[in-house]
Amino acid sequence: MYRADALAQLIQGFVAEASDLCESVTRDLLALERSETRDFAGRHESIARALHTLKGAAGTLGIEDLELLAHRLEDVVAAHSSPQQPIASLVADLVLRGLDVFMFRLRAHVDGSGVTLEAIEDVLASGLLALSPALPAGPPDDAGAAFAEALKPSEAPLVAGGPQTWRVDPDQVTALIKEIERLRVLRFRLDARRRDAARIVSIVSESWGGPASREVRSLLAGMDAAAKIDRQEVLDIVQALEDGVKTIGTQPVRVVVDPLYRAVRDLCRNTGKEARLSLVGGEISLDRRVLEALKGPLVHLIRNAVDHGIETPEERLSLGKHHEGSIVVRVEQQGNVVSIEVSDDGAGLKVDAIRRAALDKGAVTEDEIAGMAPEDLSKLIFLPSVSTAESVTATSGRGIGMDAVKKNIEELGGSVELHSVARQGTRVLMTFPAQLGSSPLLIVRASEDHFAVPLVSVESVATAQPHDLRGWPDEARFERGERSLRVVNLSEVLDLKQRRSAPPIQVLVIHSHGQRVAVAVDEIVGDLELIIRPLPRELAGVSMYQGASVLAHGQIVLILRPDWLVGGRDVPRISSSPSVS
Amino acid sequence: MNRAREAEVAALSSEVRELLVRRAERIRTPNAAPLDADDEVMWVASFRLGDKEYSIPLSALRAAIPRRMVTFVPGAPRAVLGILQFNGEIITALSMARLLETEGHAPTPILLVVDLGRGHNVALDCEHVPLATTMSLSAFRAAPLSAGGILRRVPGPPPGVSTVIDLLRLVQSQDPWAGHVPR
Repeated sequence: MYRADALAQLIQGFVAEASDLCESVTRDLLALERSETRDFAGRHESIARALHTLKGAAGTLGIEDLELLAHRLEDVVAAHSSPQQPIASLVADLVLRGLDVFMFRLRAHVDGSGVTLEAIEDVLASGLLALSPALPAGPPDDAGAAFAEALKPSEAPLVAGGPQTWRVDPDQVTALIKEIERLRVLRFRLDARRRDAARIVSIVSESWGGPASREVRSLLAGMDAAAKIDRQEVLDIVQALEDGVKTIGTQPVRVVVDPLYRAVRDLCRNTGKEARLSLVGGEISLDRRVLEALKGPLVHLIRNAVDHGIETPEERLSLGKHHEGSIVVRVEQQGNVVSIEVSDDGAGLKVDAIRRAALDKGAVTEDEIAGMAPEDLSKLIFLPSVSTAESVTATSGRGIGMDAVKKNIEELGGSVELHSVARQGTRVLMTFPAQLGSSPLLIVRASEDHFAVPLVSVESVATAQPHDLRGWPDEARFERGERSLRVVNLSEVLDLKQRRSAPPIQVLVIHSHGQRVAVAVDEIVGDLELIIRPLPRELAGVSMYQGASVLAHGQIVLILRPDWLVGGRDVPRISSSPSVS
Repeated sequence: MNRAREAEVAALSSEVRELLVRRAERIRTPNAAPLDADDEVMWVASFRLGDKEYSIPLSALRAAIPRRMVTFVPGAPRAVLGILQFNGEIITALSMARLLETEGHAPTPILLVVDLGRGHNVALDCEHVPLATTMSLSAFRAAPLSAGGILRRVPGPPPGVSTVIDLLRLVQSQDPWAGHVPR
């Protein structure tokens, strides 16, 4: 009994490893199929190694059907591909379907239904070895299957530790982060104690004389040195803990995008379209709960891009476009704000069809439509049940996508923007706060209040002399070298009461989304590494902050959004108190 | 009273027992409204704001804290006084007077931290530390709603009518876009 339980646990543990190996083979196959690599031999070798590992692990666990399946897949790759050549689409189809069958059957073994599966010899005899795409006893064979696979919860455990893994409650990770934040505040308090000690030394030196004074000063100096060491140790512990928690609680964005390469490929094969999915910034790591919540929106957006956005190769060529459509997922993080843009160079949204659909569904009235700006009409696609698809396909067209995308992102405390130009394409920008980790911040003073700016957005700081400023104070520009930047006075844009200071003034050159401004402040206080927390939900409508951080003694500093400083009132809101479950 | 508690009470000297009974009597009597013996009561925290008496359910009250360390939030809605840290959480401090669109008489040195439900805490300013008291549940239920269901004027013994505030509705009634700084 013990052996059976232990074996069941080992098989369960194998799912995560097999899933990783299948993903690796999928990546290599897609690269070889599309000749997206110069290292053909290396990719072939990687596929062979992964399939061999799958075979070996299945054999070790006594899962004979999977061992045989992996062995046959090795045979297929060896027999029908050349190490120096791309791989044929038919072979790629076959191996990808074989991997689907492998994972499908492995999960069946885990949940105990493996005994009811058809014998693998029958599966193989019915098509696999004959290079036929038909494969019984496997998962459903349609283009939607790969998208469905991309939506499945991640099988990677939160903590991977070789053969043994732990499952960790995300709330416990969040609780750990709060403790780390307390340690950070403790470090600030230690700094404050050291300043107090220095002040006492100064008072004692001025007021007392004699040996007692010397002894007190000597003791205080020793205490200060010890406090300095303690402070550094606290800093080291905080850093180590935070790195550890980040490792446990985050994953790179590519983890949720990788399965979509396969999904796009399969959908293109089914629809006769050609599209290439690219990911920029996939190495940015995000909270696993955020990534889980992003899967749905990404799948909807990318599926819609292929299904409704990208035209057929013939249409594209007739429009003077490249025969292959482009879908780009671009990830950026500024401080605590993450933005993910999904864009395509397809036909753009059919605004008339959206308007008709919204009217037909009763989502809006004619009067409301009449009062809408043309650029707002496309946003009707976010209303429930509004779809422009002429027919419901296996992959999209039921109108349950875009409102779900908006809802998911709003639940993350974020917002969605949509821009579409007919015949040029569609761009959907999702912006939301990251959940985990600290960010380096620059603390500044404007009038009597302190604010912070994510250091990653601060290009430089400078003291602007009168000759650096043109049009001061009303139409001021900061000019240095070749550069001329608009000056944004922080006190003025925040409506703080102040006396307008005269140059020289302190300026921060802030950049965001390719734009720059010089932000005039009253004082640059310094930089700190702080955890950015979301603002309470009552401040959901306030667009200029991305959150707040707690300083020593419990003071709160508001974190300004660089895109708000650069772009002003049109910046989408980051709402607050996200409900990540 | 459970057995352990009964044993504890029995172990007290008669003098101490009498003292405790008198103290309990004193705490109950001054603020508790005389009620029909059969009537159920609800506990409320009552306070004055301007010329009116207001109440909130006592169960929602988490703490009364001094009004300090509130960080001003430029661009926030008018009713937002700022944000502060409470038990490691950043919460919003709101002006009760502005939410109720009334005028207070005094600067408010006290903030009441209240739970609007599911652990959603906010701080509300208050002119005085509120008094815990009771009101008739049947009178509360019979009282008419006003201000879009936010207020319920419940008649009672002197000092007379107390207006019970539905805190969640009150906070939700604020326009989140108000006070947005124009650029």
